[in-house]
Amino acid sequence: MTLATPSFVILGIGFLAPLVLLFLLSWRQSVPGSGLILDQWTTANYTRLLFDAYYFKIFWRTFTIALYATLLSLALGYPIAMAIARSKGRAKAFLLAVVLTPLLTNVVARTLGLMILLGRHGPINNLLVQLGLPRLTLVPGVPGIVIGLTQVFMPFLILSVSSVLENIDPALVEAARSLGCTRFGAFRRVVLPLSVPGIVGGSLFVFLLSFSAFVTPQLLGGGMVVVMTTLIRQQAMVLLNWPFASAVAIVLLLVSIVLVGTYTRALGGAERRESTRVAASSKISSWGRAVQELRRASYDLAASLGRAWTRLARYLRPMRLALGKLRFMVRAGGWGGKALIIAFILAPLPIVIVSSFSGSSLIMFPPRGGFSVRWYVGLLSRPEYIRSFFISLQIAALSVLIGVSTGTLAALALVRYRFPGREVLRTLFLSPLMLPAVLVGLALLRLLAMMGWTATFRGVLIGHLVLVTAYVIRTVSASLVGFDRSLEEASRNLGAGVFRTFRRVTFPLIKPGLIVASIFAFLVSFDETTVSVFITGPGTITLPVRLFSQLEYGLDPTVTAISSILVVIALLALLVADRLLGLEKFSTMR
Amino acid sequence: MLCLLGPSGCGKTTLLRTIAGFEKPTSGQVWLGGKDVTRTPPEKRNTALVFQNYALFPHMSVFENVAFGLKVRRWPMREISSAVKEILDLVGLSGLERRWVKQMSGGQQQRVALARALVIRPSVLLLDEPLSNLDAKLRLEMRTHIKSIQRSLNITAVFVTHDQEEALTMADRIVIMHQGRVVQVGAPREVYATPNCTFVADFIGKSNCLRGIVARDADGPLFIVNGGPRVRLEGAAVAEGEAVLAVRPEELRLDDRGAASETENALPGILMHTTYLGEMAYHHVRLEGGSMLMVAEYGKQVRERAIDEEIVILWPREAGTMLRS
Repeated sequence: MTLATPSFVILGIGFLAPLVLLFLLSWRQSVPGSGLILDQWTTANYTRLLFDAYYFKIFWRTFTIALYATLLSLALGYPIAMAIARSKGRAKAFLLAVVLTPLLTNVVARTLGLMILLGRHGPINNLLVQLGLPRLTLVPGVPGIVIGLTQVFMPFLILSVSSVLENIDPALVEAARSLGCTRFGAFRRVVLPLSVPGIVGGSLFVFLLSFSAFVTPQLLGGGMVVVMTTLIRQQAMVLLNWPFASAVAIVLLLVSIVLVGTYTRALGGAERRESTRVAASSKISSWGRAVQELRRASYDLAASLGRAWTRLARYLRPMRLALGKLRFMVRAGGWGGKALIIAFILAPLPIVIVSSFSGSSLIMFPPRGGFSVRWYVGLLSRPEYIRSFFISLQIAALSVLIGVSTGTLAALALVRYRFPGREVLRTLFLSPLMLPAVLVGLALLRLLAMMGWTATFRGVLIGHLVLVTAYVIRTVSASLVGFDRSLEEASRNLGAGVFRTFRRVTFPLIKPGLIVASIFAFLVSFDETTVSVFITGPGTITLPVRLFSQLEYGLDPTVTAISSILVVIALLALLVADRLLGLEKFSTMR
Repeated sequence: MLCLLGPSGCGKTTLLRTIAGFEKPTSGQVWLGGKDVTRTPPEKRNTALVFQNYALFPHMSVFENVAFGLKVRRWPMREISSAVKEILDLVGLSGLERRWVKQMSGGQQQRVALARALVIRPSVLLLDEPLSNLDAKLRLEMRTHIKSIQRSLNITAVFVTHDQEEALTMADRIVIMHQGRVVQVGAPREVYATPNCTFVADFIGKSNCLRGIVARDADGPLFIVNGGPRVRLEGAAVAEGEAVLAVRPEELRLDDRGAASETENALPGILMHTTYLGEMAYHHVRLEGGSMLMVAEYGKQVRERAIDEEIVILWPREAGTMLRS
């Protein structure tokens, strides 16, 4: 228990206390436009949010954007998940790398790539013009946001679905085919229904992330599309209406909690049902039964969809026959489609890097004006960027040092010892990962302001530590769960003391987990943007924040150079991780 | 009921999957019911495969699992219900239609898998080591059960196993495979009594395989075991030269009265050790020249004998099969 104390202090200062503060604040009255907060309690903030048509529209817009992004992720991600589940060896490693790379690179850099890709004079619009079609305004606007969120969060869905698909016994497909199903029929009747848990889990996760995303809608919406998160920032930072911003944040928090709850139940349901069945079939909890019913209902839904399809297919039969003759082309088309999706996942990174070597002062893709390193050279004469780079580096280094040591202790406590409130504590520690970063940033800013720590180095560090600790706890816990404790007992039995046992037995065995945790910790801190946007100030602006604000106000080719640096650093970290441990392991720990 | 029998890795499952259409032969053809189906996809072959791990659909009830093949064939719901009910009766699972397959025991799952395959009335039923996941007692029970169901439905079945006892009890014909090749095909009695090579002799039942040469003297053919002992043979018309003589342990006796009859060879040896199995025992005897022979004794014949003592083996002249080495 005492092992978890340091982490708990960080969590308390950086997350729990600010959250309570935020909650209290959301019931206060404010004087419009002045930033003053009155000592009076009121429900006005909530009634305004819930009943004012303007705010409801924002809520609804956020909801639909998240929904579209989820559906698009599902449509594009499922085939890739299938490809990952089916492939082996090198092909699998390649696909996993494709999916993981964007997850580990800076979100601002990736969004910049999308801004170039989707822009009015970007490659996509140029292609449309070449085909004789009119230009589309994707960015800034809702379509751009949806595409951007899909690009950013689809990997989560892919990992979720592919892990479920990998656990489907290939013999089931063969059984279906030996009973008369076509290849497609076996997919529709067996694989698809069995992957429903992965689809539900992955979709909920993408929806949650999209709903609470901040950087992507802000940049791809060009500041003109207001969603919940950007509304919070606007209210707090521009209009200084803190109580109202807090109320919006609390509503966002509630939505997230509901989604996270459903998500963990949906994913935990399978194992839970299994274990209860083993324990005693009669003792299935009411919740377990509900999950079972839910799953059954979803299977039924899949079945009825299948029936509808069969009916439809009867009418479409002539067409399908014709298609059958073109099977080769269809299959080639399938591979082409997958290649396009993979290209879509990867595209922003090469686009940014290639653009950064452009000689022209207009950001164009493909770049014009020949090859040049002038934007990198230009960086040297921009001291603010260099300063930010070193601030980011310092904060990341300290976060790794403090976060990994305290987080490992907390993970030991959580995995090794049973004490009352253990589950609650685990959930609390991991919650900063699941809850909207905007909320964490807003709440922390409020507390820091009260403590007079606004825009200080230690303030930013606390914010980063909250997130880093959560990652470390999760990663190290994963490597501790499979740890055979009889090894330690053997060491003690052979005469080694507690500390020698830790040093000679425990530590070497959890070292891979610690290395992964350290790399994660570094990347999480170095790339962190949303929370930092709130809590950094003039002297403490980190590199991603500097990049973010630059992008908000206009495209200057320097940003492509910084983004490229951020991407390359992430790729190097990924390469190191792969060399040390292999990608497969990395993806399961994520 | 045809049984593919062989040690693991001999290619029997691959052969079965080739019949089902999951493996494509690099050469040769697959014929089913007088039709060449080499290029037919699995779903059009009307073969039903019972998988080693059953491969029951975990998201479906027992009824849905069994009805699957019929639904795919677009049978009307009413006919599906009656067909499923009928087949579940046959395998002894009536009344469990609503159960989830995960809630069932291994034996029950096995029956569901069987019912699911049988209900589509396949032109050939394929079984891939279907009994290997059951405990010993249930396995014996299911052997007779599967056999009787197959008889009553009058369906051709191909059965893969590495268990020779299973093959002998269930099969009408046995195909013995070794290292990717078929080595012998025949009825159970046939392959047991007259193995055509040392591999079969050794794989089905226990055999003593003695190396030596076939010779001929004034009294007729003679087998000289390496190291000296001579065995006189009857009826085994084998050309002279090097050969292997296989003889089953139960064909030999130990001589207690010191009296070999006219039709028996008497081979002296030393009893090295005895493996006692309860209802029977194996005596391991070393012959002159070092070759080992196993002799079986059953029931009341089983007696304790002194180890390292000289002993005489009686070998009937008609026993043993001559194999080319």
